[in-house]
Parts: sequence; structure tokens; C-alpha cells
Amino acid sequence: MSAVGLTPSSSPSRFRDRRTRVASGLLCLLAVVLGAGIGALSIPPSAQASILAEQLGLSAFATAHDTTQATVLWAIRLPRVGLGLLVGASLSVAGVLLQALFRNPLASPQLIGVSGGAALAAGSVIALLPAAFTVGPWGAVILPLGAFSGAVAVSLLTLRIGSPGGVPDVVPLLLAGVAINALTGAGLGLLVFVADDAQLRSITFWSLGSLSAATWPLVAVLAVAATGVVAFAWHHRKALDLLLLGAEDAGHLGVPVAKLQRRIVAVTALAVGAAVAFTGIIGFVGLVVPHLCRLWAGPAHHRLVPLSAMVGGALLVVADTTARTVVAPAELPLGVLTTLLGAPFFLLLLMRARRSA
Amino acid sequence: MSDPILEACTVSVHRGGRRLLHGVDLSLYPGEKLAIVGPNGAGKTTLLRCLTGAWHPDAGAIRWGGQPLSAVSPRELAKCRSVVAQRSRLDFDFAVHEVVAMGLAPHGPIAQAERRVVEALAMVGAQDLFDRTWTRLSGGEQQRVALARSIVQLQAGRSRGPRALLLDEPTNHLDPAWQLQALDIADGLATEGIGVLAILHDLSLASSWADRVVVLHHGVSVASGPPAAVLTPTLLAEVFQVEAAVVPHPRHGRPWIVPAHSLISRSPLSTCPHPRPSLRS
Repeated sequence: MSAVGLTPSSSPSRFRDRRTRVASGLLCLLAVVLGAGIGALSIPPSAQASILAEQLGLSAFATAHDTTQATVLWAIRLPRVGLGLLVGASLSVAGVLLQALFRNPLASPQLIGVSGGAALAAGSVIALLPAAFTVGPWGAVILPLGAFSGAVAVSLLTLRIGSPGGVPDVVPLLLAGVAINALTGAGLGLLVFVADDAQLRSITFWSLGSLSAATWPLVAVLAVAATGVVAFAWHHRKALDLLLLGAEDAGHLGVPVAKLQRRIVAVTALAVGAAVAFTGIIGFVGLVVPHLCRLWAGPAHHRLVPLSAMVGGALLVVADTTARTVVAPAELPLGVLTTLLGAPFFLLLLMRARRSA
Repeated sequence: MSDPILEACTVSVHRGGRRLLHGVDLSLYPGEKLAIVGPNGAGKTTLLRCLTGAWHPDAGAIRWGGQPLSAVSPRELAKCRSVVAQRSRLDFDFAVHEVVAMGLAPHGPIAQAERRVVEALAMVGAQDLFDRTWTRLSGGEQQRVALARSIVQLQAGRSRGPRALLLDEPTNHLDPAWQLQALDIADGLATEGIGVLAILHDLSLASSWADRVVVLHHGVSVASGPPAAVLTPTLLAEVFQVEAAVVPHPRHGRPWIVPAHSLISRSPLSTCPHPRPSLRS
């Protein structure tokens, strides 16, 4: 069923929908094969298929691969690719939701302070708690937990301030987000100032973003977050279209606007908070991907939501593969790479849009 | 007469220390064409916001089909009541047919959706715009598409109880032929039993279209009734500060307002929007 409600049969938009879905699916598959195959140890697609067949108990189909390849693929590459897909999808769909909330294509998860709150909280944990809590097994729990609570707390604070009289209003919300973001930035600066060298390195590494922490349990945690945010956006796809008309018009068309706005902030805070907690700050994905997908498939959310999830995931996997191979054996910080690629691309889009306007 | 669809009972609104509406009563009946007129700042849009439920009055009540408006869920309301704002703001590149199909959203999956969209666009003479991009339309074209959206919204819910269409200056941005056409469309909807309420600036247009005219002045409803009884030279002078001849229209005989000159005093103190008495002393 098409979300705009048009009867399908031979309609060209239905055909375009299917073509878009197939193309984005292939893009994802390509990204996965590349991400799993490229690295210090090359694992060609045929070996990947063979290893997978063996893991799934279909030994009859397993052909040529050695055990090192199997270990690398199963224990290192695939969790990392999976994490990339899930974090990319979460950030992109969160971007789609926030752009609908603010009715502004320039909104992104960074805007309502999610990333800033997470960064400040993670920085506080690293700089202010004794080292025993921030490294080793304790650190693996406390640091993400702190970052996650920071993300959620700051976005709820933004929502609270941005809702005069209990009703979210886009302009105060935006201004509150900008101010709180600046505040968390300054707070992080202060922490950097008081931190010792080891802490400084830790804070910097965390705020530059990386998928290197990937493990299967982590993939499982983020699968829940990503599924949640994508399912929420898909469920509300029609209401998100209507929200773009403005709060009053959307209300006249039956959307419970204030409730939906609050839920959008809560859901994006949870999803982005979860992603940022384990991977650090990965900039620009939430801004650029929805943009790109809108150019590809138009602004209607029944197309935009699945497409952004797929494209966001694929792009992040490709970016991560690039980040860990271009300067091998070292690894470029992923957040730096996404911003390095994303920002100029975004500027290019802006200039092209101005020329065609 | 049947029960009113929509009622305002002694509605008052205060915002920022100013009285925007005071004790306004109003009823809209099935199939009725009701025009709300008044000078700038009289409280017309405030009244409409209360009637749509966007604002809650500080005193008084709004009723829909006899029950408090706030007791009706937004979705149920959207199935039988449509609102066309002065200007639809949408900064994303939706196709026109997608914008019109948004009117079907409250009804859920619906049969023959595309036919409904095409027919509504044809009613507002915008069938050629079907695949065009909304953001590239002129103000008048957007106004017509917004009206088409309202038409599909109301007609998809044909089988259910009372229905109403609320229009905030629907003739804005439209040239004279389309102003008349838009009101003709509203006529057509009224004959289907839909109560149509419109804020109108053009008094002659209001007079020739409406069954009943309500005049707002400084947030108070000062007159209500058939156009011929309400739109008198005395009222035009007192409320609209215009000296006007009211003559029967040569074609349909309804009052036709021919303004002669403004009665707004041009002395600097009285035209100052916030006169400060202390300055005079």
C-alpha cells in the first residue's frame, strides 16, 4: 500500500518505489561484501559465502576458505559491518524524524543536543571518575551508560525548555537545542582543560567516533535501538508527511501533534544515545543521508524512511571500511572521515540547489 | 432548524494582557454558508483558532455536534471537519497529488483514492498540476490545491454525521474569477449538507455568498443575520470606518457595498497604534 493512498495497479510511482527498494538493497549488500572482504586479510565474496554456509550448518555448500579467514570474518568483520549498518540506519532515520519535527532539512541529531549531551557525559566519566571505573570491564559498561544517560537527559531538557506551556514549539525547541549544544561544548572544553594526558587521549578518541568496539552482543543491543527507531518512523510515516505542513494543519488533519513531537524527541534521543554511547560521535550522517534520499526518492516518508535506513547503513559501512584501510595499519577516526566527506558534499548540494532555484 | 454542527458559547480569549475575544456566540448549521467579517484585528482568526480547537478559550465553550470539542479525538474530527488556513506552508518538494492525498490521511486506506484526488483537482481547475511540485506553484495555485485537499478530506467521509468546512480567507491570492469559483465550490459542498464557515475580507463577496453574516469588532460579535439586514451603511461606518453606499447588486439583488471614502481620522495621535495619554498632557 502506498502511504499517500493512491491506488497502485500500473501507477509509475509504484514501479519507482520497487526500483528504489531493490537498488538500495543491492547497495547495502555491496557495502556488506566490501566491508567484510577488504582489510589486512582479504576475504573474497566466494570465501565469505562459504564461511557463512558453514556457520549456518550448510557444510555441503562450504567450499574454499581457511580457518583464519573464518575467524576474522565471524569475530571481527561481520560484527563491525553489522554495527555500521545499525548505527548508520539509526542516525539517518533519527535525522529524518528530526527534520520532520522541525520542518527543516537542516535539522540533525546534533541539533537537539543528543550528541553534545552524550559527549559531555562520556567526557565527565573519563575525566572525573577514577581510572579503575573507566578502563577495562567496568569502563565497557559505565562509559556507554553515562553517554546514553547524557544524551537522553540533555534532549529531554531541550524538549522541556522548548515546550512553553507544555506544548512543543519548533522555534524555542531549536533555540534551546542550539544553546544547550553550545553549553555542552563548553563543558567538554572545560573537561579537556582539567584532564591529564591519558584522559585527554581517551576523550579525544571517543569524540572522534569509531566502530572498533564491535562485538556480537553490542550488535544485538544496537539492533534493538535501530529496529525501534525505524519501526517508529515507519509506523508514523503518514503523520510525518502531515507534520511537514506545520503543527496547526497537521492537527486539522487528525495528527495528535504535541504527543507525536514529544515521542519523536524521546525516540531519537534513545536511538542516537545508544549509537553514540558505543561508537562516539559520528557526524553528518544524520544530516546528509536524509537529504540524499530526498533527492533520490522525494520527501514522502513511506519511501524516505526505508531508503534512509538502507543508504545510511551502507554509507557508514563503506566509510568505516575506508577509514580502516586508507592509512593501514592505523585507523582514521570514523567521525572525522564522515564529516570530511559529508560536509563538502552537503555544500555541493546547497550550491546546486541554489543554482537550480 | 436542525441542531448546530459547531457552536461557540460566550467564548472569551485573553493573550498577553489583551482581550482578543469577549463573549462571542456563534452557531454553524448543516448546509449553512456563514461568513465572518470584521476589520483588521477584530478577532476573526482568533475565533477560527478556537473553533478548530487549536486554541482553548479562557472562558466559554466550543461544541461539536453538541459535545465539547476537546472530547472529540483529532482523528475523528479530521474525518468530518476540514480547515483551510490562509496560507499552507510546506517547504518540501511534494508532488501536488501527494499534497491533495494528505486529505485522505485521517480516513486510513480508502478505495479509489487516486480518482478522488483527480476529481478534487478537477473541481478547483488544477488537474494539470497533478504531477507538479508543490513548492514551485504560485500562491493562487497553492490556495486551490489546499482547497482540493479539503474537498477529498470531507468527501471521503460522506457517510458519517455532521461535516463542516472552515476557511480562513479562502479568496486570498486568487484573481476575481477564481474567487467566485472558490466560493461556488463552497456552495456545492454546502448543498451536500456541509456547514461552511468562511472568514472573508471582501464585504460584497461575503454578502453575495453567505446565508448569514457575523460581524466581529474589537473581539465582540456586534451583528449577526442575513447580509441585507446586517451590512447597512451605519454598521459599515461604525465598524469598518468607511462611508459606503449599499445598493442591490444588479444581477442577484444582494447588498453590494460601494465604498466612498475612509472615516479613519488622519491626525497623528489617533492613528498611533498605542496612544500614550501622558504625551498629550
